[in-house]
Amino acid sequence: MQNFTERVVSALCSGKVEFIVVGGVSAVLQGSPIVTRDLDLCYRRTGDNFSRLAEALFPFQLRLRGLPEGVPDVFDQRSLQFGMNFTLETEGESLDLLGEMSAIGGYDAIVGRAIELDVAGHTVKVLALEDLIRTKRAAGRPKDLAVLPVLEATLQMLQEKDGA
Amino acid sequence: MTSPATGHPDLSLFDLGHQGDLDRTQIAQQLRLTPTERLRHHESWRLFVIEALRNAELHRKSRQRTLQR
Repeated sequence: MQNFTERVVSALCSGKVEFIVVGGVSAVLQGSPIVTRDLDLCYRRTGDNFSRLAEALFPFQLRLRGLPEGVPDVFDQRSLQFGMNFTLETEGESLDLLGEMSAIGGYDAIVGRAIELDVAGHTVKVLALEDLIRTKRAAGRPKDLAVLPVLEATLQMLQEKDGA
Repeated sequence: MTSPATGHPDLSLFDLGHQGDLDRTQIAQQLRLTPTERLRHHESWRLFVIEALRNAELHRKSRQRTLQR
């Protein structure tokens, strides 16, 4: 059975959404032994991509995190157009959609350095570890700073492996 | 064991994995897996952490109620 990340990634790839896996999951995919609760994705901010993204995520019935029960909440193409970064939830899972990230910017700024990995049978763009380190350092929250030594060591070991 | 150059104990022989705060053996282990295998390995830990945090919150609330009585 596929886990939440695999299901989301499969839905987005099938829907031809332009996105990059960022945040802790991007570090996990590259070999960092950290644990993260949320799935963070950076999406391309174009009209076509808003509609593909909203359509692909529709089956997940996402809601903005922290909204009281009963408050109407519509997450669609229009919300994507007028918003930037969204913290969403569904059935106990958290999904953050980011239009911009600290220090490194949005999709168009990072896609050239993103790496491509096979995730559950799909070729997926993943934020380069160097960029993840930059954005976490810039964000500067204790939880971001705490993982920096592990990320830096992973990067170093990856470079050693590639150089070997 | 001592380092031939310095005569001091060679710390790397007594700290094979961690080398300070980091456990590099865990990273090496992850690097041997495919990205999908890494994700699935992470998933079991992620669910464990979510459950642990949920239990900690329940414990905190129950303790708060007890103190309020």
